[in-house]
Amino acid sequence: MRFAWLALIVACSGEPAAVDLLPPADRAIRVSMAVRGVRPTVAELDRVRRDPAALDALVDAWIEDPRFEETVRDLHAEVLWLRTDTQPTLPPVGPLAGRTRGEVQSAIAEGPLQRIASVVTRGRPYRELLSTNETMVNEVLADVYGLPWDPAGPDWQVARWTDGRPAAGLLSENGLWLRHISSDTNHHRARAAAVLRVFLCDDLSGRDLGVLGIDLTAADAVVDAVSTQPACTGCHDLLDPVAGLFWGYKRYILRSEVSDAYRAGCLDDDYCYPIGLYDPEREGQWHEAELPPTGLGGRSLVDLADLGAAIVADPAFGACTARRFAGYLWQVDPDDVDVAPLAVVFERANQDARALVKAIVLDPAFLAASAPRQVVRPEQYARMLEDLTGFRWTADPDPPGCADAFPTCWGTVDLLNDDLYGFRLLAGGIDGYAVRRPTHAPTPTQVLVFERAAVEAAGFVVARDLADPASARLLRLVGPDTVNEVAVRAQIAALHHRILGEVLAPYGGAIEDSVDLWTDALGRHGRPSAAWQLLVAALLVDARAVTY
Amino acid sequence: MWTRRAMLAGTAGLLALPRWASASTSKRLVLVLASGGWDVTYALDPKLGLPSVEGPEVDEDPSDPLDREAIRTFSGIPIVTNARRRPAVSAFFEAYGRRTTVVNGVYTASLSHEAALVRALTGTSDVSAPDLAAIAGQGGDHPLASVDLSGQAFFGPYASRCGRLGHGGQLKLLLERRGFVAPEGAEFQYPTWTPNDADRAAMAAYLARRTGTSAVDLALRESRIRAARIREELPSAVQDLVVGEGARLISDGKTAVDLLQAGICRSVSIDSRAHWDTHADNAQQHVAWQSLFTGLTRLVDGLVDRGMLEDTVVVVLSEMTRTPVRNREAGKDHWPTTSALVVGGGLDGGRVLGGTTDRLDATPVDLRTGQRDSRGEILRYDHLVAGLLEVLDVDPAAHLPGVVPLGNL
Repeated sequence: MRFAWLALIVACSGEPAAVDLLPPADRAIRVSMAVRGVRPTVAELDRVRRDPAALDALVDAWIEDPRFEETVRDLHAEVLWLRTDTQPTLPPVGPLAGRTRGEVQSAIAEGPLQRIASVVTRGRPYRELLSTNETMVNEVLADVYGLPWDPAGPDWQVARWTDGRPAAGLLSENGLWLRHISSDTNHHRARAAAVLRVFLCDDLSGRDLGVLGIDLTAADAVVDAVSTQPACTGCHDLLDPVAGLFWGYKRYILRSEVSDAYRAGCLDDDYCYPIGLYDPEREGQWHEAELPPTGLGGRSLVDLADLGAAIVADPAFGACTARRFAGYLWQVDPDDVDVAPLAVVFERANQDARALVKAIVLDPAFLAASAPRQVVRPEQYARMLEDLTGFRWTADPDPPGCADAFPTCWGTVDLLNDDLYGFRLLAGGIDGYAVRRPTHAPTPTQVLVFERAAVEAAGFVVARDLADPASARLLRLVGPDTVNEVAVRAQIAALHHRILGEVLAPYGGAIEDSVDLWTDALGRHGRPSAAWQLLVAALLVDARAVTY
Repeated sequence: MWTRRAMLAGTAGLLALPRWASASTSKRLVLVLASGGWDVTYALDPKLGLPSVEGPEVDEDPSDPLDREAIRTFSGIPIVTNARRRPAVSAFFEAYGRRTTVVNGVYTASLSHEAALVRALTGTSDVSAPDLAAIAGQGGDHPLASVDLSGQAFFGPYASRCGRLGHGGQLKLLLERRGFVAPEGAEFQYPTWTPNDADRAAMAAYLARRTGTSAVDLALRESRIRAARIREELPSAVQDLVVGEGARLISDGKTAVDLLQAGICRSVSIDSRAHWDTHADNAQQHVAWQSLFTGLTRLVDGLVDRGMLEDTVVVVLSEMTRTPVRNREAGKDHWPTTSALVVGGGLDGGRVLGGTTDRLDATPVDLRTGQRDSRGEILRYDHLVAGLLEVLDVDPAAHLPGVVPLGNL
């Protein structure tokens, strides 16, 4: 309860008390996991032990790590609810024939996330996300959207919309509006609500509808109510002017509509690839639905580019961004974040999100010894296992002959980054559709998932390391037949250091439990490899591995 | 820069314990979710012949004498029936009407699926609050408090005690010793190795010794204990669980009863797996209602056969209903009321509580009796959830303070 005492001091005195921080290595582990989802290397841990101030420079390096980009994509997938593999969007037909359903689904979801990551990792002002007519496409999206893609270039490439849509960055992204659809009577209000929630942290879903006493069956009564009844105007005054800005977009394109279009011979081009989600000639026709003039907060706006500019000019945008990043990295409800100091940091850095991330992860409260330990997310666990062992837990879920069947093949699944066939949801993640908040606590199913992943990873790395010592990742001090106690103990100590960041003496103390586990397994199986498999698996699900 | 509340909440969430943690609830729960928004005029809330409502009679085929909508009363409950399109509805109420209470006119206060679902299941607008099944599952010595097959459960602070089976029941695959299929070209095959029972025991003991006493350590310790029990006890209880995209309410319902009978949990959430969100072609509601009641009958039959119906409450609900009239696509859009069924649990059935107007608006009720009363108040989602908690012997004030429960359930 030391932590509660500290909080009380702060609350009563109004002044920051000296914070008892984690040991330097543990601080590094917490920051490294938060920023990129992998443990620090042994060299990095040794460096901060010698010089705790070196953590600052390490953070700078970790923000340049490609895995930080993955963290950025994961964060925004969680905010935007984009990774919804349980709700497949468009089918692999026409020019996509031969692709798997998973490839198409992934491309659509990842397009906006790649764009966001590109802005953040290049240190561009975050506000750029709501301007420009740039997007990111891979080979699949190039066919889906009809954008250029260079086979000689990288997998993901910058492209520009050429259909006249407003230069509104994410607000113009097909990937967002294929996910956040509107019904025929909703008139894009759901999209407007999504924009307000995501970029201004104004979540209208928490407000109860006050429609009692209004004849909802009478169109005139409804139109009157949304503009005059206080119970209605509280939301509609905000939503409806924004909703009108989406009129250029189709409300939805269903996969059945695309399949039907191909069966009919593509008589309606909008439903054949490249899909026609946007049509500039539909812009400005919001008055058909008796919506009010377009705008935000009383300011008249013409199109989504105007909306993007209005949003980024609102101080709530910077504060909301800070809130989102802090909520994700600290694993707390974003509404609970004391955002003011972070918002200042963010603005002073000209909205360079890397500076914001650094401020968040180096915050003394995050590094305090009394701060709640973070629970490893499934996406982080996947990266951590791969970094430590070289193993990625993937599988082929498709039955034989799926290429000629309906539905067609889904394709290779990353079992910790998938909900349709994988275990992301069971391991505490979200599916972006029904479950939209992660679980930041250990759960029985997470234990089962991580244990299975750890067992497979341990078997993989032990087999490979013992077969090819030159490229060994974990077992660098022993061979396939090594039972010499000195070597075994040295190897066990090295495993603790690499996997858990623990420095253990080779004799006495905490290492003895691990030695006993290894020795017992050797006795039962008669093979050192079996003993190493068990010990590595155990370390990979140790409390210090699945939390940080 | 954290707020004090945030930091304390992070710890408190891991230590959340219900006030009744030492006493198990006396009743089990199966929560059947008809997610998407059912049109209650097709079964539970008769509005046939009203000019203000375009009900199922719009779909009648005049050339088929069996395709006729009618109101029949089963044990005092008026139900819309159609011998051709929805015979399962009649069959259910014939068999179980006297054990069923229908609640109509529950105001959901939202027209958004997600927001309405939160309200219908948790009784709040807070997505971090636990739902009815998670609350009802607390107490007792089960490997899990609540199991979710619906994919839409809200565990809230009870996440460490609850379990999801996965969109396609993939937890079953995880527990089975047969491995996954490695991708083509992978340099490994599954399983890369398989720990035997002695390995698992040794590892469990090792991990337990190394786990501390902080809040997250205690939650991890508890989760591991429950995981071990799941590994041991769950496989036999989910033998008939259909994994993958072929799952149906019938199979999920059987799995729910299997789980309860095996003592894996005290509550189970399942989904009807029917298409209810009929913005176009509302006639699809016939198929959905037929499927729902076919599965529901099997579920309740299963509880009866195993002598479990008296102490198991089955709650069927949807997050909203649909507009009284059709749109240009012959479909119906969202409407902010809903209905619910409560079956079994030793409760008095053959009753209807609440009601709606000729425009499907909720009518005021006396919350103590559930009867229409012009001097009463509108029956809301929180009243219903609080009332269901009472039925399940859970003090609703502990979760919905200040909310008057719908009585007489």
